[in-house]
Amino acid sequence: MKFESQLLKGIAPVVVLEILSRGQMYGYELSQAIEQRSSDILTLGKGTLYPLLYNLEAKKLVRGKWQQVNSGRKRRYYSITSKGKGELAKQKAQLKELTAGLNLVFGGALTPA
Amino acid sequence: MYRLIAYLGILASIILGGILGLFASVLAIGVLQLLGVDFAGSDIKITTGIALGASIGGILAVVRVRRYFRQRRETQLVKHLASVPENAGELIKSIIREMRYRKKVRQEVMAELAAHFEDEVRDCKSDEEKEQKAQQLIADFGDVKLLGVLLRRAKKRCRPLWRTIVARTFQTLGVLILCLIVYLVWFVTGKPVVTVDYVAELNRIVRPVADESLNAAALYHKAAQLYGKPSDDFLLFFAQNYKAFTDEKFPHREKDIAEQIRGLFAKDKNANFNEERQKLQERVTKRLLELLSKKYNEVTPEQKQLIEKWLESNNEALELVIAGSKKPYYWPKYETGEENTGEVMAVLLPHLSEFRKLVYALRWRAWLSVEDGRYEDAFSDIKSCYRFGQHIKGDKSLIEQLVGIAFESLTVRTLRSILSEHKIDSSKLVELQQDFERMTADENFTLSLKFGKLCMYDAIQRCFTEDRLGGGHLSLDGLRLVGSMTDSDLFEFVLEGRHWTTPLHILFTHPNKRESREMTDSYYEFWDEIVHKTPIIRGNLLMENLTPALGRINEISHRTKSEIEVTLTIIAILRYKQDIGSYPENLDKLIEAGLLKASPIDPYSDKPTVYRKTDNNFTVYSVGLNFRDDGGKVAEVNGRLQLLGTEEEGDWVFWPVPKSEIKK
Repeated sequence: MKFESQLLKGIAPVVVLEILSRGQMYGYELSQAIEQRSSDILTLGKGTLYPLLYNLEAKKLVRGKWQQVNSGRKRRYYSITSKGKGELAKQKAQLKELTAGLNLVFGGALTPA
Repeated sequence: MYRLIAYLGILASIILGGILGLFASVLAIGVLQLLGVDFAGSDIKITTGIALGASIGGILAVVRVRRYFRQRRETQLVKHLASVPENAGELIKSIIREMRYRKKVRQEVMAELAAHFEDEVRDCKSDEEKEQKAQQLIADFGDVKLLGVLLRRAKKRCRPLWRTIVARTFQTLGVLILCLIVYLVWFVTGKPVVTVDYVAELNRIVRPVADESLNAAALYHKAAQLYGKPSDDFLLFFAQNYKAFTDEKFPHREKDIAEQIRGLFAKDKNANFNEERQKLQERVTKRLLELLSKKYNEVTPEQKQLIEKWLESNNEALELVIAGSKKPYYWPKYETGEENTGEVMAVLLPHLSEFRKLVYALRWRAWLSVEDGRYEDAFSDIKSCYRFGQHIKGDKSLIEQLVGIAFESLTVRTLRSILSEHKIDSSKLVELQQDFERMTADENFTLSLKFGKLCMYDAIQRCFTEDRLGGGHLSLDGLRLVGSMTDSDLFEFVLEGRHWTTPLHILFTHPNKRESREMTDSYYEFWDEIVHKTPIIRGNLLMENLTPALGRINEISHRTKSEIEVTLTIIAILRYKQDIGSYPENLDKLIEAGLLKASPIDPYSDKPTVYRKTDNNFTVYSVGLNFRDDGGKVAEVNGRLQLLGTEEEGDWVFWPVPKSEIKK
């Protein structure tokens, strides 16, 4: 299922923060994780992923760090910062309220069965 | 580590370049000196050589280091992209190219994107499958240009504050350097525009509204040309009387001249006759002019005979001066020499040294006339000398005014020495006093700096460029012009012996053309204010230090005014003595008797000049340079009389005339 880009753009940072809140990941791993956890409903274009990560890094919500893995290759791992955690909590609360509001509007039709 | 080695390499290159520059400079200077080229300021040239060598060494090293790092980066890039399919590698390169950001950051992004592609195709078994997967990803990446922009913006936001500050600083510096280059080009290419002919302006201000026939200039200049060319008769007279010149230092000099003169006229005129005669005329003239610059009491009777003969042979020139002094005006025509650049500073001043010789000659003629009892002739010559001095003054150059003042002062001192040594009858004194009062009635003793002001205006228009707002900056031509006055080239003038900020001052903070004109106006307005102040301001520390040169020059004019006023007062006192039989008790008696209009004011006290009756005589003096009344005492330092007194002691005594001023 394809989402309108503006709709996805709004929630993409929260999704990335949520995934990273469960452990550090590198770019490819992160994009795979988003797809798996959303059962391929949410897909971040590769051209969106890296600018998004860099923007989150600029806002100090995530931290990127080069690490050498067992194969000897270097990867840039991203982890959530404490500021990022706070922001995630805030965003999640807002999303919850938004969902509740939408449920009221749609008569509970948005709640999964 | 690599960077440290690179920096050390650059430093070593700079040092090596500097050393090579030093050797090259020394070698070049040595070669030029061997070739006989005058090479002043070699220390500057060596410094320039070192700087040049170091700069070249530094630039070469930086170029090499940059090349090395570029190659190193390219190698790393190839390493990053080696493990991804070719089409993906091309995409990554395009994205990185579009980022247009710092190389290090681009390299990181490239490594990250390459790792992403590598992970994506890791599970593909064949190259073909890898290519297909990569193709799919490329499509997924979207617009390369947009992605490059997004990455750049995002990475810029990641930049730490200090890096942002450094980046902005370098950007600002870049803009400033660019502005500086534009400014320097504008500054260096600016040329002055000469719009006013100030020499013509000078000629206009010195010329009164009068017909050329009323101008004494032609007579004075002709006199200057005629004077000092001894006739054959005088040469022979000199040959006969050369012993009058006996000089202990050069006992054979005059004898040698005399023998040459005799030899020249004894034989038949040969082809070189005129040439040899001219040389002898020049040598004899030089000796006579030395003699005429001496005072009356310094020459022997034999020498006086020679002087008398000399004056007779130059009578035509002296009579031209007398005729000139009777003209109401004198105005020279200023010209700027053979090159005729039109600069006021290059204006040739007319025959001033020749004029001085003429005044000495007239002074001697007056002394000799007095000795023969021909007082009227003597006074006539003295008055002519004074009038000559008055003519040279006026709205002319400061040098001409000072020369004119010197003529006046010399004349008045000569007159006082004659009055001191000879009893002149009352009728002649009356005539003398009246003539001098008439001559000096409208005389302006203050110095005029109109010439100097125009000279400054001219210098400003030749040194500054012209802009529409009246600003205009110092031009290189202008700096060269000012430098040439100090015998320096542009480089030496701007840098040598000056503070290191001088070039910056010239470039940025130097007053512009309009401000320089305004400063000139203020300066000369200030002069106009202080020119009326007497030397008493020398007691004022502020005035003394702010206006040292002007103050001293101004003092001279006030002294001359005082000299003539006091001399007229002395004539009145002598007349009073002859009329009443005794000297007056005070100067007011002279005014009451109608012999004097006003008491002379002492410029060193701003009070009436001191007068006192003494036993069978009187004294008149100014308090002199120390502004203190020392009872009419003449100061003496190392056996020499200090006629104006000194800063410590002594007065400026007019009467009795100090011994050094009178003939024995």
